[in-house]
Amino acid sequence: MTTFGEINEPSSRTAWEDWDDVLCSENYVDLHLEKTVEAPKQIDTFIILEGRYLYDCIRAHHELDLVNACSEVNLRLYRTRKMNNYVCTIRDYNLILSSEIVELLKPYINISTDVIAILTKPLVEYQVSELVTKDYVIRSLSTSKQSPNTLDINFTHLEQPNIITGVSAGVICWREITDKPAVALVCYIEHPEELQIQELFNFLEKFKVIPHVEKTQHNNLLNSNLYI
Amino acid sequence: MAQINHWKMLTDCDLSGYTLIIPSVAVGNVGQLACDLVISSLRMRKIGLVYSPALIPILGYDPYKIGSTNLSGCCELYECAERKLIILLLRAPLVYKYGQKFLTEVVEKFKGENVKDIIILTSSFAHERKHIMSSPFRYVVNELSPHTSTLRTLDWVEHESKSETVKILGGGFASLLYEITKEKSVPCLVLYKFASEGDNIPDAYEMVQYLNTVVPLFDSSDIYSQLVHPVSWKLMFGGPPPRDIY
Repeated sequence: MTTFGEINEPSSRTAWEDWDDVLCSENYVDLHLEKTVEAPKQIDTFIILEGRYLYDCIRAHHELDLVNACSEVNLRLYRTRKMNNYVCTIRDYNLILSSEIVELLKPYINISTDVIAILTKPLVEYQVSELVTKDYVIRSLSTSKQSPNTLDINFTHLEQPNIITGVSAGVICWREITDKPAVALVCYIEHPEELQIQELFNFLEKFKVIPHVEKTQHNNLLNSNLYI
Repeated sequence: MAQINHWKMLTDCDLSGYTLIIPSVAVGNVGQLACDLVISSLRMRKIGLVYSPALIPILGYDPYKIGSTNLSGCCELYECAERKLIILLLRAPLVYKYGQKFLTEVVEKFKGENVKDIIILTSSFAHERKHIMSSPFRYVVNELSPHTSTLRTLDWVEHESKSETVKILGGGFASLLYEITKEKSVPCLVLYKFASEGDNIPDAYEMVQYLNTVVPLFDSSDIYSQLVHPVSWKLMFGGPPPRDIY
């Protein structure tokens, strides 16, 4: 929640790279996937899981085989064991490298029948004129071409002026420009460490990214200041 | 990595004789906000979108139409046939590494489309304004620009250049784009305002007013009443305060 009286000034993006200082050209990074593995001929669904919360959701399970990685941007590419799906996890990367990461993923994105990107953002960044009283909000962004995968829940479209940025945004943009279907689910969440978002877990189960997980009840007592 | 920029035109348009406006991502985003105002007020039509590794990706639904299910990305082309105007709107900064190639392709593409001229809208750090009593606007124009003679008749302040190349501090890629237009012999005008970060909506209004002097877009008697805020400007300073505090 925004603190009352706090002014959220729209900040300029010029601070990201200093166009006034030519020396920044010396810090170029060329990204590569670690293994020279050929992309498969066809993928049913390419799933992008962006952010630490989603990475933590899948890392404890063993339903995926690691195919490739790019450690500079914490990218890992997996294949699901039970379906012809690929999963890409990415977290804590420099936003300026987003489009370059999308270029790395293009061989996989281009041959996928469908692409689904899921990302998390802090709830304070969710801009609506009504007060948000929920612990989390999930919204979707879909390309003009409809996704062949039917998601069990019809997620509400992301309202303006909200936007997404980064790898997920780049992948969906690329699919839109190439007239292919894709959908992004953006999950605005307040306390990621305390929540199990059932809709996301159901989705990951459906695509065999994780096995069936029983819903766990959050214990407020353990997170309180009563016991240290 | 090979840099391939993809242009997807949504409609066939003859752009010869058009004025192309490109806002630079700069301090306070003044140029972008001014373009947002023009697109929204003239109800300009989206005619193309661009995907390039030079662009930091952003995605949302149409920022000019509430409830729209059309996606909007970080670089789109808008057209107003009545005013013979196109705007290449960039909603995210360029990646420096790929910037020069992208901008060169932009200039070459529109030169090939026979556009009349290019206008770059940008801003510079407010502390760079040495003569505090002078106008907060500056311009740079090359000799090919059709606006050169109009500008001479106006009481506008020209950019003071200390070297041969134009340097607009805080102006993002504006200086580089201007140099490319010069190299490619494309008529070009750069209009910029000294600004600071904060609420830059008033700067955008003033920018549109200045622009209207050289490129008539609105009835000059009362421009401000003709300008329409885009939907994307809603909630620029956050949502409502939490109810629990009362």
